[in-house]
Formats: sequence, C-alpha cells, structure tokens
Amino acid sequence: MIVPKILLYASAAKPAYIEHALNADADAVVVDLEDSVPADEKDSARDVAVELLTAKGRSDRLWVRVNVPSSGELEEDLRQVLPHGAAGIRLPGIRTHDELDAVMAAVRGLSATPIRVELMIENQQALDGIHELLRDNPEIVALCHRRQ
Amino acid sequence: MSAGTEVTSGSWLSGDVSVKITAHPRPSIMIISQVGEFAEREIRRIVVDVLAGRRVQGLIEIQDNAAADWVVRARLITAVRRWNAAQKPEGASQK
Repeated sequence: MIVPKILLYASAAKPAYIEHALNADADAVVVDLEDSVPADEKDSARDVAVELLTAKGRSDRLWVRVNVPSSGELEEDLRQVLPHGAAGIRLPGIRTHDELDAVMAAVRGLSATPIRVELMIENQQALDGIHELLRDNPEIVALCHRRQ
Repeated sequence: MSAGTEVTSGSWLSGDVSVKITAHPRPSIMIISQVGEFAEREIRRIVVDVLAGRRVQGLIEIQDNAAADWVVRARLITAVRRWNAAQKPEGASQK
C-alpha cells in the first residue's frame, strides 16, 4: 500500500487550480471541501469533486478532504463523493472513537472501492485517545497532527 | 448565489466557467467562450447532456474562460439544482 508523502491541496471552489495541481510533481492532490470553501459554496464544491472523479477515473493521486463532523456537511460529502472512487479521504475534526466509528461505517457503506483514510488529529481529546481511535479501523493508513 | 429569479455558479477565473440562469419565456442557451467556436460547440453538447431529463424554463448564459469539460459539467449541475430549488415554494432548501 502506498501512502502519499507529498500532498498538494487544491480548493474545490477553484477547479482550475485542481488541474494545475494534477500537473505538479506531487504524490497526490487533495481536493479540499473544507476550510477553503465558503459555506454557501459547499454544494458547488461537491459537484466539482464528483465531476472531477468521474472524469479522471480511479486514480491513486486523487484524495478528498471532507468537512468536520460538527459542520453538518460531512454526511453529504461522503454520500456524494465516495461512490465516485477517490483514492482516500482526509478526515478532520474527529474527537471520539464513537464518532469515528459512525463515520467509518458510512465510509465502508458508500465506497465503490477500498478506500484509505488519513485521520487529522486536531484537538486534545483525539490526541489523548489516539490509541482507542485507531482500534478496529484498518482503513486508517496515516495520521497527521495540527496543533491548535 | 441566487436572487429572485436569477441563480449563478462558477466564476470568471481562468480555467473556470460562469453560469447564470434567469427567467425566460422559453428554454434558451447562450454560450460565449474565450477559446472560440469549437469550445462553444463542445459546451453546447455538455449542456444538452446535463439538461437531459431536467426541465429548466429559463435562459442559461455560459461564459467560458477555458474551463475543462468536467468543470463545465459541475458548474451547470450546480446552477440547475439552484435554479430548481429557487423555483420551489419559499422555505425549501437551496442545496
């Protein structure tokens, strides 16, 4: 299993940048649905991600960063994007094992192909419970930590 | 994003496309592409494909700034969904 080392983020609000990113020498491009997308453009960003994945076909280079569970956007992100074959998702904002289990159940149910997950550790609660978070979730292939 | 009988999606950025739908007596399409007539024909083909099975009683204006086909499709799908949501009674979701 190859875990990308160099990830290049490109906002789904600016699809032209995604094309440029795909031409760059990065292991993978992460199509961002989260912080770079204004709240009233989340629907449009998902359309961009879906049409990109459909046009490019299955590729190990196409990842998607979804919204945090508390945003109210995550369920729709997963429902729309996962059936179209992203290589992996970057999952931000998880706090507890129960929260992660619920997300991973949705991920397993919606993915058209085996999918990798990178867990973004962004809060103290997740950091403190990191061993428990990783239990029973083999799709998680990497962790990244952002101190807040 | 939407105001009364007008909805938009996309942008004027290079590599993107701007889509606007406004009320009109009959379904109409206007396409302007900086890339030229070939691109306009391709965009018209995409519009016909996207609109298949979707009824849009309005004028669809597309300003292309050298967007890839998948970008045009995405922007159109967004605009059509927003248009249909805007036609629903007040209180219906815009998403």
